Amino acid sequence: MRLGTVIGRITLSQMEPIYEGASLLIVQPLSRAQFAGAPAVPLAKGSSLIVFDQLGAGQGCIIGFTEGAEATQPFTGDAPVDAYNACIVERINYTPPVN
Amino acid sequence: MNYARIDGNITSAACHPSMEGFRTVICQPLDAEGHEEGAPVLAIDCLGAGLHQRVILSTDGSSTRELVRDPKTPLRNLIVGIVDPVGASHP
Repeated sequence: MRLGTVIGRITLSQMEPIYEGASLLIVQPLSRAQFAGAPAVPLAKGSSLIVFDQLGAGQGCIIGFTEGAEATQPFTGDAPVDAYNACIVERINYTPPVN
Repeated sequence: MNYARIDGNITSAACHPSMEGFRTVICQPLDAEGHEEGAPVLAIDCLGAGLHQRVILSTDGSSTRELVRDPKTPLRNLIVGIVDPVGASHP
């Protein structure tokens, strides 16, 4: 599971039935500096991704998302989902060792 | 399985039901010499690993599903061991 900031949302006009009632978030994974409290803008390097969301995360929320086979685990049968929102983060306690 | 260091934890406002009651920690993956490698990841911890302790991080989803007793959990990363610091070459 990785952490990312919700930077947008996607709506679909035609979709697989599994996407009905859920939302698709555009998520930018957090950099190490952003774990430590750096602002979400400018965005971290690396590509953003689309995350399937049933929890109702809003713009600017930090979420924990899983990728790969585990992202399809919450569904019955096969699901065309690559990334799944597992939690909406309330607080990050990040204290790396000081060297 | 990966070598990692505990750099903190998170609390959630809302989460998948399978995560309730489990501690979620921030793990910094380390290389063999103990240097940081890549961005931190999250893992479920039921061993009680402390801050800055070295741990072994499993990325096997099936054992995590067994641990949380929910075949529908989206979780994958799990702390499976706390590395003994005695005799180890920690930076």
